[in-house]
Amino acid sequence: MSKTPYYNKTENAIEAGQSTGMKIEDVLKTYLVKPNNILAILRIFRKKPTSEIASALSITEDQLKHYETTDELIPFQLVPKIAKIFNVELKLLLQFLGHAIPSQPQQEQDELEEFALAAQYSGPDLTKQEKIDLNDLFKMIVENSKK
Amino acid sequence: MNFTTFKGGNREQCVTSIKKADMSTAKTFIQTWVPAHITYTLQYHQKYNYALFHWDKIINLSFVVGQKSRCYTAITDTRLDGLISLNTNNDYLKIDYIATAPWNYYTIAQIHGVGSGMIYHSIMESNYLGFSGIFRLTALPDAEPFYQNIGMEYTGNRDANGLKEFHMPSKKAEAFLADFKHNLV
Repeated sequence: MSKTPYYNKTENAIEAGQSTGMKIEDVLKTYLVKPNNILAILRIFRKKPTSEIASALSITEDQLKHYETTDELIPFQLVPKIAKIFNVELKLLLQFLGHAIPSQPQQEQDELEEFALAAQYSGPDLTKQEKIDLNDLFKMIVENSKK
Repeated sequence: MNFTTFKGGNREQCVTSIKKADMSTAKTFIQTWVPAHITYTLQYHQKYNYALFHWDKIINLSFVVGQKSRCYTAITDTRLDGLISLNTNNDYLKIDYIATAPWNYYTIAQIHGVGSGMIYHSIMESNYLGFSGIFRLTALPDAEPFYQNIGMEYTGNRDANGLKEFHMPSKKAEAFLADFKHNLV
């Protein structure tokens, strides 16, 4: 038997199974159950390794993986950095990750985006007091929107 | 079992290992294969025809007491590059499911050689079980050329999904083993 060229394009298609696999709609419905899952998808779409994203966000790789796979709310000050890295609209990302309530009036949503941008340029790390103040401010905005 | 695989256009050599799947494998599949599959499907549209199986269910089922199926992983560094689910009947080994990772499919293939390594492992398992290297599988259409290329033959049977069943004869399995041996590490 002549030497079989295993390392060719056909090898890339090796798949066998008792089904034809899931449709993309079923994959999304079954596995994309947490908003934070979008982070891994954005990262892969932009072909960025976890090390690079973690470094850009000043967090560890374990923390990044934790955010990508859990329900934990992504910290407010990280969201504009994420939007910038992946070149996605900040307002939509804030909303998708649960930082803005869809029923908020447009003015308050714009204010939220301004605060997020301010948080991005407030320095590499917010002090504990700054984080508490930002949270209080954020809560005020949310409470205002309920009135 | 360790074997040589090749990364990228420069064909930089790597080492890939076949290991038994454990309880963390299903989680790794969800965390890595699923987002990759979603991304590439949306990015490449209809050109990316990768079939994602319910590997988390397949793997978890293999841990149920009394189940005959067993799952193996192909690991390069710490990355899950391939998965196999094997079963047996009276006459041959059956590959219930086999796939390389979404990032090893189509023109974006990052690592070459993982699939052949998994086939080698399957033949060795068949030998160990006394089946003389014989195994069968039902192939997805895009994968048929690969199986024909390594010596498998269409049995004439199709499953309920219309997928063709392929059979690896003993002599062809033996030839594959001999050919692949130089890739072992």
